[in-house]
Amino acid sequence: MSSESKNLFKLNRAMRDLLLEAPDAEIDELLEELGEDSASLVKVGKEAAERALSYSGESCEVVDLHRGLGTLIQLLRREKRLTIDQLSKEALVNPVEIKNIEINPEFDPSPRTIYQLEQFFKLRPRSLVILSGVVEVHGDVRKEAVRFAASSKSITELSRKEHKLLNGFIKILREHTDE
Amino acid sequence: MRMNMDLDEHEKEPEGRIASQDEVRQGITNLNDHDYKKLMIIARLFAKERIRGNVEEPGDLLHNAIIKTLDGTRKWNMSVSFLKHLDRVMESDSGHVAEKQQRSRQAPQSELEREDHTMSLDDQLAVREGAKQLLELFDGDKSALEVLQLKSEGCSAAEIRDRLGIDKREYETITKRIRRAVLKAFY
Repeated sequence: MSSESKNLFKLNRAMRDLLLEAPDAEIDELLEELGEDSASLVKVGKEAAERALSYSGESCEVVDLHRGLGTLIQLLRREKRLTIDQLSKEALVNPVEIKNIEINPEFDPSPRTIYQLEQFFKLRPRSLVILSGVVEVHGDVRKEAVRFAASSKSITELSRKEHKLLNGFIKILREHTDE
Repeated sequence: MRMNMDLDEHEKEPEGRIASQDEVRQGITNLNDHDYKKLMIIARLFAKERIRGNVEEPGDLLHNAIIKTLDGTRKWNMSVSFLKHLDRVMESDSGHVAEKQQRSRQAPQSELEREDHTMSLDDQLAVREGAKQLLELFDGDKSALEVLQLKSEGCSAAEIRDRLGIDKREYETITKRIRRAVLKAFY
């Protein structure tokens, strides 16, 4: 960017910043002078924000499911006293992918990895698929996934409580794979 | 006049904490009617000026800016206000749309275009035209130009008053003149 255009760019920004800093009454006055309908402006702006929020809400559901998935895989792995590397070798999946599943709820696991993990942990088919976010699930699965993820603690060995938690969650998944 | 250009790559990110998604949602919830008016005014300025041909709706620009902030594509640094953050996202977005449109219309490069390797002829002319329009807009209003220049250099209101030797009231009068001139010219 040339210095002339950089300066112009900064001046434009400065003008907009001054607009953002305007007192409320002045904005109303200016809009009236321009013949602009303030109420319509607000309405359009609010609708834009609401659409954005509801769109974002849909994608939050998948993140919640992924949280449940990550916690489940981690607990199942620890129940067998395996490191991530060991699990990756035994289940024949990429260790980086397992790590991402466990710690990053925004990560989308591959279908192959999901299948391999289901096989390795001897889970009912589709148990992990419904947590991967690729299929539609009942709202209570999401809620249970969130609750499950929030309830587990990060310790090396599973506590009795975590065993109970793990088994309870697997039972819920089993119920939903019967449908 | 061009209201915006592509982002200045050399401008440093302000220091501060990045908002979590919950904080972004709270930021949106906290927007009041006057905030929406300001955001829509700015969105409209971008939509009108920057994007020719396929005019993007101002509401869509604002919607996309909020979505990108919510999904983390654009991170809100909380050392700047939420309104300012959304302004910057819209600025960036409207620049990308205009670039795409320009690329689809672009003629083969001429010798003149090689004068500035980073800018097309269209943009170079627009910058010169923009600078000219700005001077004309505040023609004879030296104090408005001075305030604007200092603001563009990152000076706060207090610093500007100090540098120009003006009091708060006078500063408010000048900034009001600037706002009025800008909206009347470009809204």
